[in-house]
Amino acid sequence: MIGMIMFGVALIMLMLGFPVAFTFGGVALFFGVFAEGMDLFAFMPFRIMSVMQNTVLMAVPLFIFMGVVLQRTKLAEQLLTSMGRLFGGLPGGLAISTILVGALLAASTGVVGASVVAMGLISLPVMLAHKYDKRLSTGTICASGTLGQIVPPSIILIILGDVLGLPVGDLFKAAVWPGLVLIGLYIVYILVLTRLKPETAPAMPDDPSRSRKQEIVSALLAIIPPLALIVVVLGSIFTGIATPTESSALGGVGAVILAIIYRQFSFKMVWDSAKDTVKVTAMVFAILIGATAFSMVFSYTGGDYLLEEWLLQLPGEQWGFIILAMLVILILGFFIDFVEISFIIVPILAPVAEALGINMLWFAILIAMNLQTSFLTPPFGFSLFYLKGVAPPQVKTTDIYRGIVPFIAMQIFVLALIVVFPEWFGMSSSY
Amino acid sequence: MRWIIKLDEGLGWLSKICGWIACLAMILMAANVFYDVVARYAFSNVSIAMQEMEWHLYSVVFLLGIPYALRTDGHVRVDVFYNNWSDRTKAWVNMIGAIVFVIPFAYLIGIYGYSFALDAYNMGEGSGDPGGLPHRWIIKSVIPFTAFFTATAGLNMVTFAIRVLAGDKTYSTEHSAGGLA
Repeated sequence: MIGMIMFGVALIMLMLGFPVAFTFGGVALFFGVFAEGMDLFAFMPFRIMSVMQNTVLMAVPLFIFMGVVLQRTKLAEQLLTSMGRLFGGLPGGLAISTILVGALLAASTGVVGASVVAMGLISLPVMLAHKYDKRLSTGTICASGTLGQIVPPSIILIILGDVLGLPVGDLFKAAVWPGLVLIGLYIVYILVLTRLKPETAPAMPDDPSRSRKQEIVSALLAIIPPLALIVVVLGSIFTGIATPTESSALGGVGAVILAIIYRQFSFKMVWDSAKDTVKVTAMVFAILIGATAFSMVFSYTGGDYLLEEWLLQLPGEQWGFIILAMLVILILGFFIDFVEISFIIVPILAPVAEALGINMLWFAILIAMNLQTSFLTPPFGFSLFYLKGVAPPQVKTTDIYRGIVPFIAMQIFVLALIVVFPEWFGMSSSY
Repeated sequence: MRWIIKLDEGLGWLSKICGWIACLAMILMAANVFYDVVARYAFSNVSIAMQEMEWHLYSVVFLLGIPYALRTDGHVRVDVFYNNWSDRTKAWVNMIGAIVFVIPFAYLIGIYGYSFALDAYNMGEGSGDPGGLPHRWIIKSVIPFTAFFTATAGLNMVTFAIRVLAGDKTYSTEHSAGGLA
């Protein structure tokens, strides 16, 4: 019971806004010392040491570094302007080009905040100037900017691989199809919408100063460098030449080389990127350490045993559990974000899933797909905040909230597809 | 008040040094892993010591980054209510949170981390692999050091909150977790 009370107290404490990592750690400390005594925490250095020697998680700072460096090469800006010109002449073309750029950025930088901000600064004013519907524009930008969560290489998948004990390379491979289906669905949605309501996304008039050929050449020039990097990083993982950690280092150095090509390189740029990387990395790992303490107290006080027993008794065998697990993650995603969910909720669910004979790879992809929505669900989705921060004043928060709804619906639809037809995505639901 | 400002700036400086070391380790780590990959595939040359250096550097990155992120408000908050509160309320949340959560948590990790590193020193623990790095106590002692600097960063949150309450400083409104992942 103590575990459950601790859980409730931690959730309430989180709402006060004190840093999440220390809220979990601090609450765990009080309950742990009260229930088991101080010596329980003598295990903490051993747990921290195992994180220090974990070469899988080493890929996290390296991929963040790659993303932060790429963001400073102005890659997003180049892609957005050239692709926008290429597709702008079609009805809905600006929205489609935003989705395509979002997909490219997801597979290269994967930095959600940066992608949303870049699109909000570059694409949104163009879309609004060409009389695009505000809701459609903001929804498209938030959803495409968040694709980095499911499209590999993504930090969520690395963390889930570690928590669930799965090879990260396999997770990356398994996430490719769901990611592509989602991107395809977004594009289909735009195409259908422009047929039904042409006024929401009108075609851009042609720019007579540039020929079609020039546009294609400049778009290709903008696409080749990030595409090359994607091929090197994902290619080296998928062919088994390099581990995800090794290829993340290749990606980091590759990003620096791209910066030199784009003439954005300076030692200050690398240093500033390292600073951002250290901050985000420390944030993730501090939550991991806080969550470790929390989970330790939770299991020592018998919380996981209680919960496991209850979850195993759910009706409908594994389906009752899958539906409940997905609902819990979806609802928690409204309030807390993926790092906490991956480090605290997933370790509780994992042994039950294993006991029910659920294919863990499939389960991991379901979780990743589900966690992506936590970035988009109002009122606390990160992507919505980022876009609001850079959107022009005529775009209201309610426009963003309403605009994102169809995209959340599409994500839940794809999630349901993977639940019901795992074989369509090259997976199976059980061993 | 004057000594509070002095203390606040001194403590902030400690966290910044931690951040500086972590940034340096970050760049060295990227270079180290890259070098090891190239050395392995191009020259089929694997150095156990260089490979162990990878996780030594990586540990420094995320451990010493923690106090730095505390000082620069890099740790993610659930900021639904927090963002709308006045600086006075934020100051109280940060002050009490630091005293009740950060400092005791750092203290516990610190004392147990200290004996953890001390044991490694007394046993003369080194790498289990031939050609690995000796003196494991050095990297293990990063744990108590991190705990110490996390505690000073926690104290720093208190001194900063006092300065905010005195009207000397304000909290920047920037959204935390800057563009994660």
